[in-house]
Amino acid sequence: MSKSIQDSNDQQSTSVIKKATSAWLTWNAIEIEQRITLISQWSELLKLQHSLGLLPGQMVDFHSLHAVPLISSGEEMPGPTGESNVLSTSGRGPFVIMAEQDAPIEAFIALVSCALVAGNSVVMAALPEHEDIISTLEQVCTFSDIEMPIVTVKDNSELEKVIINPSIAGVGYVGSEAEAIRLNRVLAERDGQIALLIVETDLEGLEMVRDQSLVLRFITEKTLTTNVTAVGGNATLLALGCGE
Amino acid sequence: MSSFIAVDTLREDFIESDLATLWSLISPLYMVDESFWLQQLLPLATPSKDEFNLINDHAADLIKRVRKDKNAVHMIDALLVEYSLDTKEGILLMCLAEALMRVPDKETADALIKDKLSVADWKSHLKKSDSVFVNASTWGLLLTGKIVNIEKTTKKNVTSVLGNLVNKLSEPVIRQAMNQAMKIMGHQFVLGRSIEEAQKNGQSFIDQGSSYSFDMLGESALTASDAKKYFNDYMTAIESVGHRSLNQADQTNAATVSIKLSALHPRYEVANRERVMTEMFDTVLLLIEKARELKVGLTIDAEEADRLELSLHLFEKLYRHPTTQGWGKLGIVIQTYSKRALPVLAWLAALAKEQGDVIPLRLVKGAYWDTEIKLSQQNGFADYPVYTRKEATDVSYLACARFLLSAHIEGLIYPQFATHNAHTVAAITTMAQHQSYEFQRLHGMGDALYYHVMEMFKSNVRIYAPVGNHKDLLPYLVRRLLENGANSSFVHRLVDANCPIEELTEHPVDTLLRRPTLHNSLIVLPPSIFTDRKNSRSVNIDIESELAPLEKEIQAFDGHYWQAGPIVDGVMHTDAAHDATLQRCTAPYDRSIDVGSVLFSTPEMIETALTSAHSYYEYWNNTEVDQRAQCLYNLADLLEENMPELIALCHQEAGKTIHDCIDEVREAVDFCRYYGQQAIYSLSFSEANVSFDNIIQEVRRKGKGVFVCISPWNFPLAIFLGQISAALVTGNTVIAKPAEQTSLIAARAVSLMLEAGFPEQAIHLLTGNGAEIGSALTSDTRIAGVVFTGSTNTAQAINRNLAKRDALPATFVAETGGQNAMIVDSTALPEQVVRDVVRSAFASAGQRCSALRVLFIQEDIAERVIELIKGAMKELSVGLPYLHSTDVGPVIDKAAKDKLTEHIQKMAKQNTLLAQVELNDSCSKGDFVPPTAIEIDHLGQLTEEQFGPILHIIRFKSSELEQVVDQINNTGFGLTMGIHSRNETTYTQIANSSRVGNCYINRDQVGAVVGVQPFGGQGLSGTGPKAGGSRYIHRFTKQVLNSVVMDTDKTDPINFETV
Repeated sequence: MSKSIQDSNDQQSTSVIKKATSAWLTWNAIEIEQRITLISQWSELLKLQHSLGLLPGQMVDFHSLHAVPLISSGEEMPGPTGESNVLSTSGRGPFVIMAEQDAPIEAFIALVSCALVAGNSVVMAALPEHEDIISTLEQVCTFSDIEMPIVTVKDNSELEKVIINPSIAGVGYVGSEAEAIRLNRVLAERDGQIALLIVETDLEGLEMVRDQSLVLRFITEKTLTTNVTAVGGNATLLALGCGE
Repeated sequence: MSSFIAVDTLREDFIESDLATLWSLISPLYMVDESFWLQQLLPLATPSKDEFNLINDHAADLIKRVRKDKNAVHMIDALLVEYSLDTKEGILLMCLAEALMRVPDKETADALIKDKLSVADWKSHLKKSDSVFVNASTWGLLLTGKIVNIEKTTKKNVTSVLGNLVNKLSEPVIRQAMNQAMKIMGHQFVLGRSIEEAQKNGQSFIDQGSSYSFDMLGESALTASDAKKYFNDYMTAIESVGHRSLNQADQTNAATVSIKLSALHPRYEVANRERVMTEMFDTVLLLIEKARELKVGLTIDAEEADRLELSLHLFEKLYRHPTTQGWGKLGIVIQTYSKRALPVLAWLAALAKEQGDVIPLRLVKGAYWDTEIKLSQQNGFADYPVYTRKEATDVSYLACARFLLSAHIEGLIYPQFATHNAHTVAAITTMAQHQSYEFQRLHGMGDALYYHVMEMFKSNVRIYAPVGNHKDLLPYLVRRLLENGANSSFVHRLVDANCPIEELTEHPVDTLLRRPTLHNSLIVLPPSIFTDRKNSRSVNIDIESELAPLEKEIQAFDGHYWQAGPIVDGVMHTDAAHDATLQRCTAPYDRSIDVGSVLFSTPEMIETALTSAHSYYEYWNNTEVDQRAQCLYNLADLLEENMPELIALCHQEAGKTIHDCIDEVREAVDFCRYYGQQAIYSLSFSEANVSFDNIIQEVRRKGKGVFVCISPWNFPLAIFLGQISAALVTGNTVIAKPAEQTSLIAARAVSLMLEAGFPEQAIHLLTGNGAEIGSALTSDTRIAGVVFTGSTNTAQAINRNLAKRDALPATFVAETGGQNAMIVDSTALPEQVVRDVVRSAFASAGQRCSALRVLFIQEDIAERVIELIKGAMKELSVGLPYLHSTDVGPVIDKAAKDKLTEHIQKMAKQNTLLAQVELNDSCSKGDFVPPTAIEIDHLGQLTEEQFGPILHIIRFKSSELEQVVDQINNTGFGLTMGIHSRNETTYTQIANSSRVGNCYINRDQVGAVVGVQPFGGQGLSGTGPKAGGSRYIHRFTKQVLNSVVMDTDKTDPINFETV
């Protein structure tokens, strides 16, 4: 590869990363409940795509449903008086989701929808078999006036250039064991943050995407601790001191 | 349980026991069972029938007189009436006032006003009803005597309240209102800005027969120069008061001065007893000398419960000194919310009897009640040092009063009863068997009440009057009003004609006995603050009765030599018979001390461990989860039982201080109980659900296989066991690789695990060289997962090693480094900031993943805060970790020391070295790094984490806040962040936009608690899930589908295996 082509490739993937990062920040800032509403609108549209069949839409519903109790915009933790502790989840960053051509589309969509529900943006290849997936989500986003959380590149070989960038938080892959092992090595060679790799290689039984808690692989958690007695007193406790 | 019978104190000969015996009664009551002890006190507090009637009549009479008094309302609570603090507007303004007065820059001040008044923020409070709301209701409680329950207010109401406020008041008006409010409060609660002014303003009450005790306002001293400043203030006050004719003539109503010990020394704490008994002793003695010369009585104020015994030691030494002997005007304050109050009084009476000088003694209810409760819960103590009901404190007050008013105490203690409650006044006048006592009231409170008290009973009344700047008023006010919360409520109801007199005259004994239990079951004991598990146990080493037995047990391990090595299939190998390396372990604080030896693992041992763990996995995975969890519960109990040895080991092998050692064991215990409970909760049952393809599946979660747990030396017990317990309880088997530096602790922990019932094939320990053992384990395909805590680089190396295997990706949980920042804006309280900065940066010698590395401070308050940091660092004691007085111990080894030293040298050349603690001789034989603060220009100057006691400070302009957060995010690390700000909009924005795992607001940023503050970072700082969080154990499991499933579309059962 000549140097100039290499540079232009680098530029392309840099711009994809930029777009995906910005899409992530916007998408992640949307409340979880609202994201789930948007995703369920998307699944309704998916179910209307005859070319896809019903399974992709059902897959999205399955994971959205199970995501509700698993992720949270703020869970109050127990603890000593005078302090508030809230545990919340959010997306990790841009995820690359890819699949082999022979892979079941519902497995691919499981990874995409879990990534999105969790609050990540998704980078995927604009392959013909993904066209309906992308266009339906675009409709939902346009309708709600929200930035599209999916960024596309031409094909899987383009994705390969994207995943070596440390800004990519993780990769979801559906396909062969051998390719999964290879991808793992590519990602492990990266510097920077450790990328998550979520793979579905059981193309018959779909063991991984059948896991109802799959969404947990796509999140990061944050604990917010606030000293509520900083100004000087603890009214809640004082009330208890005068109680029965 | 104490053998001391409370009612015996009324016997004349009780205080004739020797002092040591009486002293020995105090400490054991530190956290005695509340109901038990109240049963003891009740007979003392209970009035006889005659007393009861008399008290009732007097109290009712007093109330009637006050209510008839036309001046009462204006006199008693001008503030409330004039400023309407029972309105939400008033409360809001008070919240604003707390911070506004000290904000130097206009931008931040305006932003703070906007924050408190903007509609958008009110809405956010509605959703998360914390901080400002609690603060607001606190102020409501404080200033109106009742809780204004804003949480219940509907959205519409709040908006309209705000609308009212905004309509009524524009910004300049608000500033004016603030000034007005401060003026009124100042006038109400502060007698004067200077001692001269105060004495002038107090003249009218002196003319009416009252006397004064002056209190100089201020925070506790954090630095020697602040302590000096407060000393000078006290000296000036003594001189000024002493030169008045009232004192010159030595009249009975001569004025006195109250002093706060924490203002006179930066380290007034039990850990620094030596310094308190020498340096502080000398300081106070100088004040006494001057006070005696000028005939000004001195009173030592009471502070937190942990300091009670220390303050009594100091008092005794001062009292017995020739300078004080024969004077009779050195006074002390005793808080009756303390369970130890009564025996303290008995001891003081005996002390006075022995020496013959009367002790003036102010009896108060206590000002730090909510702090005491919070601290006890945080520390996991067995019980509280204070009563949990207001009326229990009242009963204790009356019991103590009964003792002080006994005939045989006259001339020994001169009681000064601080109260604003008509019933208490009536009770005291009725119970009194002698007349040598006085009442005390706060300046600005109870004016009308005491006007009539003096008329009815001719009692002596002294006014406790704060003196100082308005700026210093608020912390004082908060404390005083908390102390008098109950009284101010009484004061409020006193003038409320709608409140029936019988309500105000109910005897506290009756109130308490009406309750279902004597203790308050709404406030659970510290061990029970979690509903699903027991809180880990702790020992309060500031209390003699708690420390003594622990110290003895720890000392039993002095000079102990621990031998450790690989533990494979339940057998520990410790001798170098089979060619393995035997490593000598020495103490980080003194390399000449041999602590023990560790045998390194051989390749055969590694192979045996792998084979055994791998073949046993299936059996262990099919063991009932309850049984696995029970092993963890057993382990937790064993850890608590063996706490002394573990503390000794943590001192000697890891160089940890006492507090760090206790916290270490507690965290390990919490991990065991938390993961045990979580596993039972989430793994016990299977769940049937409909999958995406309409198949009904029975889902269960089970272990994954063999886990390798690679742990660091900085939490050699807690993180070590945290990783292992999560893996084991979920059905995995474990091979643990401890840090080379702390293998003795690891081996002891694994021995305890075997004792707790874990099967010997389920847990193996491989000691030795990290790189060799690590790579042997992580390249093996029998490994299902790796849990690692350590450096980012090592995490990457492990990840690469795992990826090289011809196997699907293993589970990898990595917890790595950080570049942790704290952001402080100008609304923050400097003293609070400095306390939290010093702890966050230097505790554990900075060797915590969470430790503060970079402090961003708004330039407007930077000078003051940096001065305070420098001064506070001067007071840090670096040295032998087993000494209670040591704040900072050694770093882990020479390599760490060299790396940190090199960084300091490099940074000091290019930047400003702000402060560095000097190392003394005790550090000469160990690996010590002096705590250091360096000012730098920008974050880009730091390329990697420095894992030690080094604090970098960067100033920023208020307009640059957003860029500061961006800079921090751009480091790629994201572990902890601290924020100090009173502006909720500001701290919420920073918290939301910062990409960190743990964010701490208005407190320090270290010491995350299991199950309370799940811990772990983002980006370069770790993969998650968070340790000590509900999602952690999930990562160690996989979903298992039961083989028989039903397809809802078809009717035939189909078989398929997915495991």
